[in-house]
Amino acid sequence: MDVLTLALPPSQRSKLLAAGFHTTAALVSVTPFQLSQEANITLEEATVVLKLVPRSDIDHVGALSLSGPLTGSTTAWDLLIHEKNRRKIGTGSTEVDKILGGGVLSKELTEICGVPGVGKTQFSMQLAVNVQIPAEFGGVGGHAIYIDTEGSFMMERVLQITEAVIDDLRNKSPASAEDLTVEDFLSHIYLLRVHDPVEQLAVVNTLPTLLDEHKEVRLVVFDSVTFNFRQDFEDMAGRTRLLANMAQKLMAVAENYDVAIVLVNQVTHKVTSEGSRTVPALGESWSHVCTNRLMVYWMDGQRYAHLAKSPSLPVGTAPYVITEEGVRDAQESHKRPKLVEPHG
Amino acid sequence: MPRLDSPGLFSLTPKILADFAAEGILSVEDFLLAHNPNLDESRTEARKQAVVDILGYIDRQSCGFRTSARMLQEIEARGERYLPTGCESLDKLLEGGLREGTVTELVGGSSSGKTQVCMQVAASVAYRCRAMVGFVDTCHSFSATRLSHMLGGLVGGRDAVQRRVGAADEIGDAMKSIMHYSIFDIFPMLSFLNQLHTTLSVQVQSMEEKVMRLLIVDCASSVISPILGGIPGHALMVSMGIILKKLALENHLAVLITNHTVGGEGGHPKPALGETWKAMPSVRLLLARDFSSNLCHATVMKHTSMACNRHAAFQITRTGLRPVF
Repeated sequence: MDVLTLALPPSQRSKLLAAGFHTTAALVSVTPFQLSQEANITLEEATVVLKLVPRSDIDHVGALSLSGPLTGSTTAWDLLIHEKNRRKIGTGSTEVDKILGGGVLSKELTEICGVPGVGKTQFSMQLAVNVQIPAEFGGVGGHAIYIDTEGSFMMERVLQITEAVIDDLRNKSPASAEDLTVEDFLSHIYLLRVHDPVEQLAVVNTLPTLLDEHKEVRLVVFDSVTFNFRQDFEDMAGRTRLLANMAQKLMAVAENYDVAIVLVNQVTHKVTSEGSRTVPALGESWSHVCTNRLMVYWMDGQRYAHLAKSPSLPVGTAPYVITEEGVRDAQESHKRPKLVEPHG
Repeated sequence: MPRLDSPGLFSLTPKILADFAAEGILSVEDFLLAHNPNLDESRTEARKQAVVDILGYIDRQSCGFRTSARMLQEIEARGERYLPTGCESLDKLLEGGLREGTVTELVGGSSSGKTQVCMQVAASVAYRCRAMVGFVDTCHSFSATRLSHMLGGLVGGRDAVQRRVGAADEIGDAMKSIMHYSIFDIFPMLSFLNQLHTTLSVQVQSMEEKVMRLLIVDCASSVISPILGGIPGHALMVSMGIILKKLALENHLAVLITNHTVGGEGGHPKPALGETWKAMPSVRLLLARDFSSNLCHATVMKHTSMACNRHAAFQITRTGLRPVF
């Protein structure tokens, strides 16, 4: 293995190369003291370098069994069992849940994109509340981290949504929903207000620490992931790299902490020879990042959610409405007045 | 190139090594750059012996040449095969499937079906060839549930699972031989690929145990694109390409990787990672999905032994990829 491929600071790497250490095989029989002398690095640095030498280089016997050194592997069979027990966060609309395979899944990145005012933030706030529905009601019973970049998180609206959710649960089972309070729900949404791209990248970098402190968190919402990255970027290639980097970190967080990550994205116009059409913002590379992509749009005065990308589910579309209570099924809203009338 | 002291040559005493070091010769590479036969005339016997030994060591590194006839024999003796992709139209396009010993790349935009092809190939190789499959997942797109549906399709659909005794076990067996790895960063990726190379190289093959014959990296570009731009990033990309090729050639794996697309000239999407990476895969397939008809098209963009620009079509269904001719 090449010394170039070790995760080392460039200065140490060039010192090693200058001292003639080009492959990790050359590092196997060297003591930290020798290495520090020959490569002109400190003893601590030399110890770190030697720790990076792969075990398979040091002892070939240890490399004999496939499962031994290649830690971190899971068979598809174990994953299948795990996937069957995976927790899902409902969106509030059963129709939208259906196209998402039951709701927003943990360990996955789900992108919601659409034009302004179609309900992206409504979805985000609804999910931040719904993630707290206790397990006995078929929920996840976790907390939420809400990263607000646009200043669109409205406390009054979250209160409305929370009250509606608690009312719903009380109607279902008054006894077990007795302890649920609006205060509890609201105090379990951790809000972070982010103002510029640097702050946003910093938040992504500190997410693991935050999640270590708050182990109950099951959902991280970015509303929106786009806003800070749409203006004042001269170096577009640099932007793509920053975004790709951020995405890889978010994926690692989703996997390691078993949280669902929801990324809200804006849309932009793409002009082609056939005319212009709306496409998700942040470009081609970004569209590979999310596991699932939910496009929300208006058609004939009706809101629709369209699952455009998913590795495990077919493409699907479902109508939904936004009521005072939050995101709901389209049919339900038509039915509700009829149900209410006889009583009134 | 190794350092001068690492081959363990007896004539290279600490004193000789110190002499070399004083001349700035630390590695075999430095020696080759600085070596001048005329200068050695005036040196001591010990020094001359050291030079002869180093040159001998370098000669021994040469692997010698092989004739094409010999290589053909080796391929036949090993039974190098084409691994079925699990979709007849793709097999036909590739004249049998993925070839062992080569790197095949799938290029396509978002949701063009790259991951679906990867999972279908994994299912097909695990089930039909009874081989181990390594699935490196860098973008969280692997779904075991989806894979089980595809295996269900290969076994003969839902009816077969209920009707035929043992069909469910066959699916379970295939699922157990697909190893999934989540890697999100270039350094763990390189270290993983290197370890896999070492492991497979020293592994003693027994008849009972399944052998790994397919390695999938979905998606290779997402660990590379964050580090591109600048010399270190470029070097890491090339390192990754080299180790993938090594795995294919020396461990006789079929390697399947995916690459995304970026906006090119005039807004037309082109494969990411640029010109250098283009030389990496032996076979490059372009995937595109027509959303109105739900048809996926695969086009050969590059192939070392077949004509390019030929097409194949398939549909993504619940039980896997259905060929369309």
